[in-house]
Amino acid sequence: MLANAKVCLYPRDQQEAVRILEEYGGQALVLAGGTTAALNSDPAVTTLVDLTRIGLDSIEEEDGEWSLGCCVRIQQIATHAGIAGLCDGMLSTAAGSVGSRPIRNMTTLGGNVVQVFRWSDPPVALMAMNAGFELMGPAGSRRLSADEFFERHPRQVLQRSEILTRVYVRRPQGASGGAFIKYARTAFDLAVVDAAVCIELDGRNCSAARVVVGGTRTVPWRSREAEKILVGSRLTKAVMRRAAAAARLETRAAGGVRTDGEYRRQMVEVIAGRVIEQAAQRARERS
Amino acid sequence: MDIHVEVNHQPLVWKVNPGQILLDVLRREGYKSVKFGCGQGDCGACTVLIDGQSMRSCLLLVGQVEGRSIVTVESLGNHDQPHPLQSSFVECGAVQCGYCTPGMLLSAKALLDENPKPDEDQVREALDGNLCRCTGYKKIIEAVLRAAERMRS
Amino acid sequence: MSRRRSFSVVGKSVLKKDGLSLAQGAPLFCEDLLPRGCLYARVLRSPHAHARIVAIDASEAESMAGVHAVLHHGNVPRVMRTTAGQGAPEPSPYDFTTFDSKVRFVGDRVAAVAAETPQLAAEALGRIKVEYDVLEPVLDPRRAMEPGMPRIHDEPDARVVIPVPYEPQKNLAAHVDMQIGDIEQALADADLSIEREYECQYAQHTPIEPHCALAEPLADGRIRITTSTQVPFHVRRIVAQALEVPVSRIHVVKPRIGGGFGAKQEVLIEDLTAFLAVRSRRPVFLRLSRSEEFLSRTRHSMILRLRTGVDKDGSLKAVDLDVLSNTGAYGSHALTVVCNCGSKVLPLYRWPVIRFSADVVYTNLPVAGAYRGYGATQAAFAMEIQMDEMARSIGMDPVDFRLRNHVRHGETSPVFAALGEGGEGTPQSIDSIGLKKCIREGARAIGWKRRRRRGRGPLKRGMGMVCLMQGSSIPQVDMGAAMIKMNEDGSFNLLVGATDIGTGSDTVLAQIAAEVLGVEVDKVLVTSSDTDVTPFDVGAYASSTTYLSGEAVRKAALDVAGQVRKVAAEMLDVAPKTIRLENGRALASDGRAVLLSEVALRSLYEKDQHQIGALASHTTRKSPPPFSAHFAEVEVDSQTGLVMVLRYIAAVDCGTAINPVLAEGQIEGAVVNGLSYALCEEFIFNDKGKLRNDSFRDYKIFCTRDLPRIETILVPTYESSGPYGAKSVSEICINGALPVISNAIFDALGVRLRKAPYTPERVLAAIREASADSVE
Repeated sequence: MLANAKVCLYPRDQQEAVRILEEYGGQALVLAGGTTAALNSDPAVTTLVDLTRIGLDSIEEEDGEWSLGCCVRIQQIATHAGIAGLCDGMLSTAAGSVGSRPIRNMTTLGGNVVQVFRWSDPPVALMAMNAGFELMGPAGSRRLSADEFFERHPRQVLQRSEILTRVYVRRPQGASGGAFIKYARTAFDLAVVDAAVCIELDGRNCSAARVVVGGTRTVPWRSREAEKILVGSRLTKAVMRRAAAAARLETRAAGGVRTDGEYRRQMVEVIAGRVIEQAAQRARERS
Repeated sequence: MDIHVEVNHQPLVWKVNPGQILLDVLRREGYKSVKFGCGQGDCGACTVLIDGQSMRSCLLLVGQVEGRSIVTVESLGNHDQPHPLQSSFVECGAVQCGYCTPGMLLSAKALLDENPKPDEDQVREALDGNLCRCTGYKKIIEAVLRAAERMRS
Repeated sequence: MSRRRSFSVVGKSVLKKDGLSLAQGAPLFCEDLLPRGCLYARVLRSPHAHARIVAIDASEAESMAGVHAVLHHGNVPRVMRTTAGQGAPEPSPYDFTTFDSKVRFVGDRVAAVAAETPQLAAEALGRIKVEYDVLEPVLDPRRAMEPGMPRIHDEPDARVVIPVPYEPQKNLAAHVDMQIGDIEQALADADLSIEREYECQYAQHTPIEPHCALAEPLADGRIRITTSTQVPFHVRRIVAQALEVPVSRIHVVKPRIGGGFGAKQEVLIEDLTAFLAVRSRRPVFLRLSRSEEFLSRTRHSMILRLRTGVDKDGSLKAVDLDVLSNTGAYGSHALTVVCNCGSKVLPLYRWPVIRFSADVVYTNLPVAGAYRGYGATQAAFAMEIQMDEMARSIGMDPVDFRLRNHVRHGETSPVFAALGEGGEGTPQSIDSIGLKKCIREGARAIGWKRRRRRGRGPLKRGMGMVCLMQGSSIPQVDMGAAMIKMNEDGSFNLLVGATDIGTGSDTVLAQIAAEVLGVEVDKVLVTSSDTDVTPFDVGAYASSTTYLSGEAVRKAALDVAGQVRKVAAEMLDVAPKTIRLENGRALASDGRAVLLSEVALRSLYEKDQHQIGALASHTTRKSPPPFSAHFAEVEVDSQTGLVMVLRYIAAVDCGTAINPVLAEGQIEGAVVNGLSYALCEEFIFNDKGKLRNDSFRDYKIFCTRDLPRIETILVPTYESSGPYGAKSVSEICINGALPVISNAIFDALGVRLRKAPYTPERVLAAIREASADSVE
């Protein structure tokens, strides 16, 4: 509980939100879904800023590009028909695997993506889909690629008083396939490992691949070694197995409370292998 | 500050600090059906419906529910006219200690409001955030399916 | 008592009496009942696994505005006792006092505070200054008794109050052993002799309602305690002991309980709340946080070494079970749990030669206590995996192996006489057993005969089965009593000490009374577990409420029925013994009848006025086992090691199921708890003995999406020593999952897991080890 928070503000649009954050600085706490705010008891927080009324809670499509507002709830993403049609539904699957139903009802895309805990599943899919991230701050708005947004923890990428406003995803061109798997020990659980892959084929060869792993570091990361093996090759079983093994070697996984680093690394190979195979299969079906 | 909410279809104004936890505020205001199980958003005993969606009241700050509608189990029916979910739960043996029951009922209500004809997997998904240690869940799932059938006829 | 008539009310799935109120969210739990002006308590806990408290300075906390009491070892009397909710004299060591000057696990009590708000109480805790002299901890149960290991209980006044082994100087909290026949000879003579070690882990009950209690000082100097407990009468006695006041000064009331499973068979917080209430002169409420709940009480983790001998024709020759049980920092339930390892598992089969030996050691880890299954869970784990291994080694179907060797109707086992709960046992013969039918029906339901190892790609399927027994009550030790009185509308008040912890025992006991009295169940109004009002009962444990308390209810009801018949006989001018009680009426043999309300009005107001009522007590002479056969089908991902349970069948003989739906509820709840224990529950400690996963986020229990398809089959038998033929059902089914899942994994992959839980890491490691062995 935030005992010293006497006021909650409800900005009506993104400009007002940014202005408020500029004014209050460290005394303000941004609330979206709120799944982490309640566990915060920072006595410096005097002002709460509820972002959910700034009108960024819709999913829209224009010219093949989908934009998701930062206050869209994860459950909305999980059940959205249009999103289900993108990249073989990898973002829908990732959203549907977050926590449990009430958590999905509460958590916003913005919160999930900016807070990115080790257990946040949608960022893995978004990185594989090469999503775009629009930020708004006092100096105006800017757009970052997924690689830029997750280069370090997004909280460090976001500048002072900047908020994430929209996430953009686009249907890939040509013969492409995607897959996302969350491997967890029970149904309502943090991932041991997430993996997401988008593959594009040019004839029989792979022309592009994004292989993303989550659950092993604070942010999702691309296995460049795995991608190097895939791109330019025909995706035989042997090639795909080598790519999965490369992803494992590239993994620097710490142990957690319930699983050790060695097992996690092994699972990167198993799960990355499965998503690569699934994505390749789907891409082949389209070529 | 003043927080304006609608609780069980009744408009109210709470004079509270917005940083308080919704679970604590609801219980203080007399809605004892909303339970403390973990305070960390993991068990679902504190489940309430906010604008019809099941949410964890132990993770919500009361400032966040300004202008929103809150539903707790107190509104679901009474002894003479229980809600079909409540009677189904009792008939199917889905209530043992009863501590998880209010949360289960609300998650089930949210499901049936959005999908009056769920299959078993959909019932499990809707209730996956409500932990129960007494029943093993089987009779709870049966009760929701039976209530859905009743409510459709 | 006649066998298997059809009954009016017994055997029907009557609706649970409090079901609708609970479904309406009525304020029935402890925290819903707080009075105005109630203070909130918090407990300061040790950060060290083993340390002496050199100094405590609570002065700053005491002087805070809004803080009304601060307790620690310096201002609370030292009264050695046990926290175990057991009958006096308790078989658990007296190794605990309200606050000691030594702490023995991370989370042990150091001080307690009562303040106007929970936040203020938490702040006050932060102002208590404690200086510790940190000691070397004992964290490995295998080493606890080695010479030179630190002594956890070195206080001179730790003792046992019944004559049982107790050697705290070597960290031995309890020991039991028995032997029948020459074990070494029998094992040597057997065609096949197997020796294996099994290990099962710490687990917590995770009742969704954490422990909580409210203590109120009353105007007359008494203290009323409302507490979420399984054992209200033991709470009264033990709190009186701790406060050094007579029992009559304490009044304990049990509200609705949000789950117990054994965690609340313990006097864990009521003493603190009572002291704080007395000192502050205000009502005080204490509720454990979820992370404190994980440290409240746990299941005994155990290492079991099992040697068995069998002949090629399938006959069992000898069994030697050696148990090392880890009771944690205090010894509550240490001896009795481990006795049940023997007494609730060994009698299941006909073993000609038996040896059983168990040591229970102290460690500087969280305290183990009562947990559903109570030792039978851990021992059945070892036994049923080894039975499977023996069967396969001699080429026999595991089902046929059990059918060949299980105890039969009318037989006995020498284990019954040898092993009690801390003392001698009670000999008994098996007078009701439906195990064969359980096995056959379970096998049919799962398709046992049609099974073969199947799978797609990395996913491998397999099936396993196990047999189980438990007990019903603790004979000659536990007592339950019931009082019934009649009201003018022909309804009855049934007052029982028995403790409904969500199981529905209030309803089941009402059914028994209603059956005798010939009335509808809602004519029996139950008041339970109020120490000022209801008669004594030991409480909800040892699967005793239906079998023990139910019989007390039946006896009281019979007495009342006799009194009703006497009055009715006068009214109808017939002999009392010709009157039948049926449908709320007293019927003469010629068809004339009077309503029970008429009988009541006459007896209360009109003639020879008296209160129709009775008090009856019961102790049991035996502990007739329920029996069960469990079958499971699993699918294992051989690349990740993840085990999914596809189907689970539990066929159960609990005698007569007084209320079938409630009995099924006990079975299904226990099965899912067992599965979760088998697959994903475990305590993870750091190297200083601190629990790392003290939240639901990191300590996983099953949710709705983890479930297999579960089928429950009730196989009725008739136990003539139990009310209307009933035995018990509440514990037995938690014992199946650990062994049956291991057996199913073996069927799927050919690897045996003997260390629980069967996490993906362990399964994968076992697969790798097996293929490494086969390469060699």
